[in-house]
Amino acid sequence: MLRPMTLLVTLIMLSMATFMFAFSVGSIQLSFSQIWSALTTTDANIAHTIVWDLRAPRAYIAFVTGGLLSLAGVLMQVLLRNPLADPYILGVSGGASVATLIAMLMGVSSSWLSGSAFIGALISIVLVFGLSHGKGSWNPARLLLTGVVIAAGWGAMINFILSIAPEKPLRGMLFWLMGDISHITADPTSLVALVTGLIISFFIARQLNILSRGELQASALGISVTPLRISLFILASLLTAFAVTQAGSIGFIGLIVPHMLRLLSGSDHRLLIPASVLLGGSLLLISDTLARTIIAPQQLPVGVITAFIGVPFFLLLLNKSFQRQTV
Amino acid sequence: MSLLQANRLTIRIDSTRVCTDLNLTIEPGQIWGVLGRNGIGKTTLLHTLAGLRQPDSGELIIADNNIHNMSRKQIAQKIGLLLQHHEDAFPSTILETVLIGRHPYISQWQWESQQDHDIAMTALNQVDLHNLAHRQINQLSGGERQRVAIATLLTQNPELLLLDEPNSHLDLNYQISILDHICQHAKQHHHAVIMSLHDINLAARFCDHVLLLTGDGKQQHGLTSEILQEQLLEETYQHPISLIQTDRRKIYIAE
Repeated sequence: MLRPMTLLVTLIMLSMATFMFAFSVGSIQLSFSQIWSALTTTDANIAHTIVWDLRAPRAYIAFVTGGLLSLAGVLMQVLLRNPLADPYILGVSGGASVATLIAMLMGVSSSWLSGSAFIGALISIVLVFGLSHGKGSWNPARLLLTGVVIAAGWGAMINFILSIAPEKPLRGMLFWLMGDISHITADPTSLVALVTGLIISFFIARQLNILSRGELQASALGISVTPLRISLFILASLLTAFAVTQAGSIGFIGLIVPHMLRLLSGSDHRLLIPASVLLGGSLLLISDTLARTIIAPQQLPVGVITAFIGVPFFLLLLNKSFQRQTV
Repeated sequence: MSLLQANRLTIRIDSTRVCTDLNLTIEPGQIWGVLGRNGIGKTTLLHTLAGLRQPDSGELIIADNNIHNMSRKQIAQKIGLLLQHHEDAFPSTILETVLIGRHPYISQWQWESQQDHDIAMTALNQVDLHNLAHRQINQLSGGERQRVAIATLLTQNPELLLLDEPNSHLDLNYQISILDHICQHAKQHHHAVIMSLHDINLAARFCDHVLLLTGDGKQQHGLTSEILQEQLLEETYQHPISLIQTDRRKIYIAE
């Protein structure tokens, strides 16, 4: 187990290093001093243009999206008390995808795509909440099943749309579905969402520690479980909606980042929440940087890279932690 | 001032009654045992008394306040509940688990203080687990996990302790020493204990009052010596019971 401060400082340094990496590599390599002068001065040279106009906006989006997904993942796992939960498990991304694909099919201009994704995500959130709420208690099992079934429904609609779609928009659709951040412009909305989400989650972090011990234990220790669960659901879903709107469904980040940190440093959510945002942001930023450089000038969807990095790394960590337990 | 008062409490599980018009007053220093057959509703009764479940009728008064007018946090400062099942969804250490008992006393932005840590370590000491404070919770045996849960309750230190089968998974020595400790502590600090038990002998040994759920929604309660009568017990458990009197205590044996 790592000490909390060591972990946070390491992650902050990792985040800064990944930003440097993202600024430096690409079709034109920049040295550390070039990046430094571009960041600190206003000289209009080529390095300044590359960093500020091309690489920084994209790095910013990657980092924020990674942070949103990891934070949503932590919250979903507590809400469903299930370590296998990821941000997409309750169908938020499915709803967003269907709405976006329909918009693409109708030839809506690309600047409207994120709007339709967000609306689709909201429709899915309201649908899952309404159907799982109903009469009687609002429990994780019912929520999980409702969400999974709705997600499966969206999945079928996605396949339907893909199979009737003409050739021309098909490639764009597939890229969007795999998770892609190459075509978006940076705007501050998602950063505001991330920071707000981070503050709220940090505020309820100790309650999350106790909610993970079960509903009865949490009530017996003074927590009003149902209001907490409803806020968790709304918060996690909205964070996911912002991430999906921005970048499509990027897999693995929201599932493995919280897990890696739980294995490394335990499950105190007061540490886990900020740590997840930093690690998730870094991991997606590294992945995106690789996605645009590995087979440049061709770009890969970033979701492919997160899986390539995430899967072996996670398995390694899991293996190590189980070895330690059996000794 | 009584710690808990139940007025005409009726509890049903679906259509089966657990108790009917139960009037109960728990005074400081009292140790109550709840006895009755499997599935009769002992756990449901304890959960209702802890405010986790609405009674079908009747009211609960905690230290002169109606439970309806209290927040969950206020209730948790007065009443603690040892659950029968413990759920650990994610990895954590024993100390972290025990520290959650301090939750009702720490405000939203605060972290656990050194004093909270000391309280938790004292509780771990009392259940003989202080050497394992940094051990992972998923590496424990059933009995050790039960002792962690008891330490969590001791860390919460409520005025009324509701224990749902405190002895499950515990070895003989811990059954006696831990219950001894809980009951002594409660009497010294004018707290009270209500515990559901399977073993009549433990009830006879530790409890000064007994609530016996006899089935069909009926109940009897009173001093231990009044309630633990052979005939009443035989009717409740529908099994012949005999009594052996030693020089120190009575021993109940199922025939």
